[in-house]
Amino acid sequence: MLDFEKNEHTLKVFDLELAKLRHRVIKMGTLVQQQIEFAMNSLFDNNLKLAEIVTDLERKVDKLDIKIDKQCMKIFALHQPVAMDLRLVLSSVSINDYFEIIGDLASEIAMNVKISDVDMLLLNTTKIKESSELVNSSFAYIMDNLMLLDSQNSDELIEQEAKMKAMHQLTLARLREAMKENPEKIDNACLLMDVSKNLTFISSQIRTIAQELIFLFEAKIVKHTQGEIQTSNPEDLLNDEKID
Amino acid sequence: MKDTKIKIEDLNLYYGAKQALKDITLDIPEKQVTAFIGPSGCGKSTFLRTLNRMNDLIDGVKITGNVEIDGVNVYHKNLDVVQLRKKVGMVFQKSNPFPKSIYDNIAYGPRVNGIRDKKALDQIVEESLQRAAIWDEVKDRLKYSAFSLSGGQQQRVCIARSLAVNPDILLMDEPASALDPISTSKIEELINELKANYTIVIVTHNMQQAARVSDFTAFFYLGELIEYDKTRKIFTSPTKRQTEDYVTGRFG
Repeated sequence: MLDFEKNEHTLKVFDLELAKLRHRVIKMGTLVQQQIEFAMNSLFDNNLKLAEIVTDLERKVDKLDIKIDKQCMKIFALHQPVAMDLRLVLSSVSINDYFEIIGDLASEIAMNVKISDVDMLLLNTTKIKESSELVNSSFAYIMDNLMLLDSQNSDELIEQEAKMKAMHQLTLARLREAMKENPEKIDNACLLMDVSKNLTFISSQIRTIAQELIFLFEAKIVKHTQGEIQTSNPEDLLNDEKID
Repeated sequence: MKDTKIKIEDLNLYYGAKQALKDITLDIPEKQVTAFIGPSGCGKSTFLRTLNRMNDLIDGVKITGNVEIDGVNVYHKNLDVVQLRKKVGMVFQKSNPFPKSIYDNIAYGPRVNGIRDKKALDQIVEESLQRAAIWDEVKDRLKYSAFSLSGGQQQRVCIARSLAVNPDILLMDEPASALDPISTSKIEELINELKANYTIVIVTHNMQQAARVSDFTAFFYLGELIEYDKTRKIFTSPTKRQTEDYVTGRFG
């Protein structure tokens, strides 16, 4: 665990800027977490009001996205952060982007709910509820880690993406089956396919955020892995030969 | 890592009863830039001065341990200190040209070393000023006083003066701390060019400067070497908490 707050900067205003940044990233995450929860509940309960709230939240998320970007630019320009401060600002830029993408994906789910009547019987044949639960619990881990300044369980979150993909494949298989049996269900099945696909994309973003948290708190770069986890130090990024 | 140019082992330095350097051990690589960073009074300048025995000039200084340059013990009793300082040039925080012309500043060292031939001196002056990236700015006024130049130009003339005696190593004690940003950039660019031919050791309070110009960085605190590693490691993910606190500005 990395403790940003144990030792304060000599320049107090730098502490304030970093604290404000962390606070905003956590707020962004909280808003996006609500978007996912409300979007999925709007689907499960066929609740248009909840779907509308997701759209409202999207506007707040977009505003906060720009604020965080601007603040990161300000910190880079005025304070030239290094070491853990540098990692905090770099990670904030990335995590902010991933949160914003997740918000968009949740909004798309809510938008689908607003324009179609969901066939609950068909929904219950899929793995969408399980996928949704997995996304919610993964996101909760991410938020806990962000607040507690830790990367605990990040490795597990990275591995959960495979489980999500498997559930998505099951959902697709069942929906294809349903379409074959009853062509009238094609529209609804397509909607649920989109929802399942969006949940899988959200899971991918969560995996990437988990990788960012490992970078932030353990100073290791864990990305572009195919089956096995490869790690390297952030300093290697500065080694031109390795980039080539 | 490149070949070691300067090898320091268990170096201790005392000003009377006060110990200023404690068991310093590190290898400085050849034709690389090594930066020493740390808060005021941490011993980095004192340590820099042990590399060309500048501390010999201070009363009451006692040094134990080894400093070897190219395998030769710098503190051996038979070592010729004048030859050592010819091999290890030094540039100080405040530019200190002699009250002479630009030409005579550069020619001073070669003349002391016995070079009298005008053509040979002309060539050394031109080459030194070119290597210090100031030839184009002063070639038409070599007979002018060095004091007629700006602070940044004077500092580069001092670097040229050091280069004129053909050293292997350049020690720089905060060479740009009194200069404006443009002059500082010119000195930093010069350091980058010079490292192709010289081993450079620089003390700086400006951590961004250390990050920009050096290949290796050593962090000193209270006379101890806390961490020594590649600069990119020190400024992205240092190993020691004290280093992290210092480079991020969290030092109490």
